[in-house]
Amino acid sequence: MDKTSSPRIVALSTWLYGCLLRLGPSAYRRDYAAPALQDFRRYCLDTHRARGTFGVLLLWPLLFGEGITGMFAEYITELLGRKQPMLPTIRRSMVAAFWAFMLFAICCIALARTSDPSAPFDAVGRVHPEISFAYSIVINGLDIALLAVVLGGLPFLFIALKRASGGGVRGILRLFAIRPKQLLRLLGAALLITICFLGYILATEYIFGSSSASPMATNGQPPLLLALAFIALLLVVALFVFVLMAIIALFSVAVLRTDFGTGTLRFALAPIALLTLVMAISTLAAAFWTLRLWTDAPQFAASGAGLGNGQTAWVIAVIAAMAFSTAVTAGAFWSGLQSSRLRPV
Amino acid sequence: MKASSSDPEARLPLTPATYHILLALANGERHGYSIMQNIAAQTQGKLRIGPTTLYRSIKHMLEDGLITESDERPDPALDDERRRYYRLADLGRRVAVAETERLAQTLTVAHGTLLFASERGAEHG
Repeated sequence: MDKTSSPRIVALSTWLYGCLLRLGPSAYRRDYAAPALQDFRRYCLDTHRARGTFGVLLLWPLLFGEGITGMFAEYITELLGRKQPMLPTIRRSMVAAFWAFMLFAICCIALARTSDPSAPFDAVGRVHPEISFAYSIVINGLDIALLAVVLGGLPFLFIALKRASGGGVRGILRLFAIRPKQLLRLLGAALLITICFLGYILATEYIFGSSSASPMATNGQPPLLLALAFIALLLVVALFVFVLMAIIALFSVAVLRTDFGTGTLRFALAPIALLTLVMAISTLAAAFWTLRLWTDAPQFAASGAGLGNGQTAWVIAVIAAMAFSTAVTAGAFWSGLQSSRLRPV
Repeated sequence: MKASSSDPEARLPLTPATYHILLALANGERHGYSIMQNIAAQTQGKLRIGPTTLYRSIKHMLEDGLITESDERPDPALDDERRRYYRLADLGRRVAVAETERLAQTLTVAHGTLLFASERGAEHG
């Protein structure tokens, strides 16, 4: 149809609607602006034929109103993602909670490495029972969290393996297979995490540590040897992080690739809820433990046997990571619960 | 990896726009404007979907595998403008059936409540 034959009101409406569509997200504009504009014009032409110029004007609030809200909603969708249906959302929640738990476990072990079974910490704990109590909450929290992950995760692993075993060994391998591109991404992430982590530790040691214990002190070693030693350390730590991430990724893809029943997936929300609770309590206990060490025994906390010489930076990093993993688990639980509640009973 | 589920129940409840688009495509493939007209006819004009909402819904339904896109071709009934045609995918058909059953069940429950007691009384009286 020749566009020049359109009545003026239709041409004006189409032009305005075209301007509105140009304000939308680029992906929507690219794929759907042309057909949307085509249908809008057709709608206006039909309305003009039936009800004249006034009829087209009456369409404006409806069509421009839904156009503006639709474009806004599309931006929000691009930014935050769509409200997902229940099954994929809970599966993703499980994977996120599993990754968060692994980070949390590493943090608890790191915290234990700092203070247990060091005798000075035990002595402080005997004088100040609340410090000892807070510490035991963190350590027992890890045990309970591990139990929740094992009891909650084993049925899913069993179901995934049972379904995959129908295809023999190849089926099981396919269940856990990770593409080379994904492995490269994991390697890049492991390297980045290691660099950030070592950078943080070195920077805090340099800023807060004593000059004699500073890692920047060369102790007469040639700079080239020091640089090589640092690179070797970086690669070893990165390799360890990569292996750990690869193992977690294997289990994650297995969960994402398996179709679980609705009831089974709903069951996953219970261990995730327990995990969130335990991780939150442990994180608060770890923060309390650090603060009380500094307020109840400041001289010990500032000493090399306590949290001095860069240990404080280490403990702050650990608590920050614990808080992050707790937030991720809480988010995963909330997202899973929301999608579960969306479904009518 | 894109997670997808073949369980139609997991996708319920549908938005009115999604449900009516599925119904509009139940009898065969249609282009966007034809879907809009069909929805207005299905609902006696009570539900009017504009082009933005229509294509946002179509975009999401294509992503979810509820519908598929056919080849672009002219609309023989209206003019020679080329149009994209859409049709129901197997999953879309199963989701539409599941949603219809869910709505029917809700309707049965609603009719059993006091909301419709006066109408029932009038019928029996």
